[in-house]
Amino acid sequence: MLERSNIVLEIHNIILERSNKTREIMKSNLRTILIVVVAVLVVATFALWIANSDISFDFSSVLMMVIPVVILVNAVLLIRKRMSDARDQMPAEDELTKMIRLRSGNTSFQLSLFLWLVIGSVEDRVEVEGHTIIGAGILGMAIIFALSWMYHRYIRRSHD
Amino acid sequence: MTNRIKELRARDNLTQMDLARKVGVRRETIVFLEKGKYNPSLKLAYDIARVFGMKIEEVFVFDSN
Repeated sequence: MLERSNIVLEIHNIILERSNKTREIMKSNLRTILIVVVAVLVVATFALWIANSDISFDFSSVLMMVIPVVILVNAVLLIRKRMSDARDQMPAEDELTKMIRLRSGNTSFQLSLFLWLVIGSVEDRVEVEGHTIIGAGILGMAIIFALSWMYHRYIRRSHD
Repeated sequence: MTNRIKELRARDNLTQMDLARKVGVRRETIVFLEKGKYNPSLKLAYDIARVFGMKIEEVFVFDSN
């Protein structure tokens, strides 16, 4: 009787493990699709903006071009990494990558607050349009996040 | 905390990739574990110990210093 209940429990565990794996794969695929959708939207918006405006190469226009390029490069790198992970049967995320992402988010949030404080204090002293300042702030936040991710991934000595 | 993952992996002829697949994590996580740069969750420690057929305390050694 005990043996039978053990076998039933073992089968239940195997089914549970498989359904968890399937759920993880589905979540990963959904995220990849989301990245592709965002990348396509960025390209489409960028193309519309280029088509409907006279292109000039002043600071604000160059800044507005850099942001979608950064997003696109990031999306391409992410998709490539996810594809190679899928080929190697590696999970897209695990407990270490989640922790690094969480810590990077935490660090970059705190640093971004300082960035906006600096932007707020110099805003009145420089003659730059409002949307350029916002663009610079968003780009700065993205750069801060990338740098803090690199710090937590490559430089920080222990993750516990 | 120190661990014997590298030694046990060599004993069982497992690559970092093999072990990572068996416990459902990325290869980098195994690299970090072996270098002592990351202390695993209880579940991951249990899964790794189970792969080597040992108890957690035989694979992971807590160093109070």
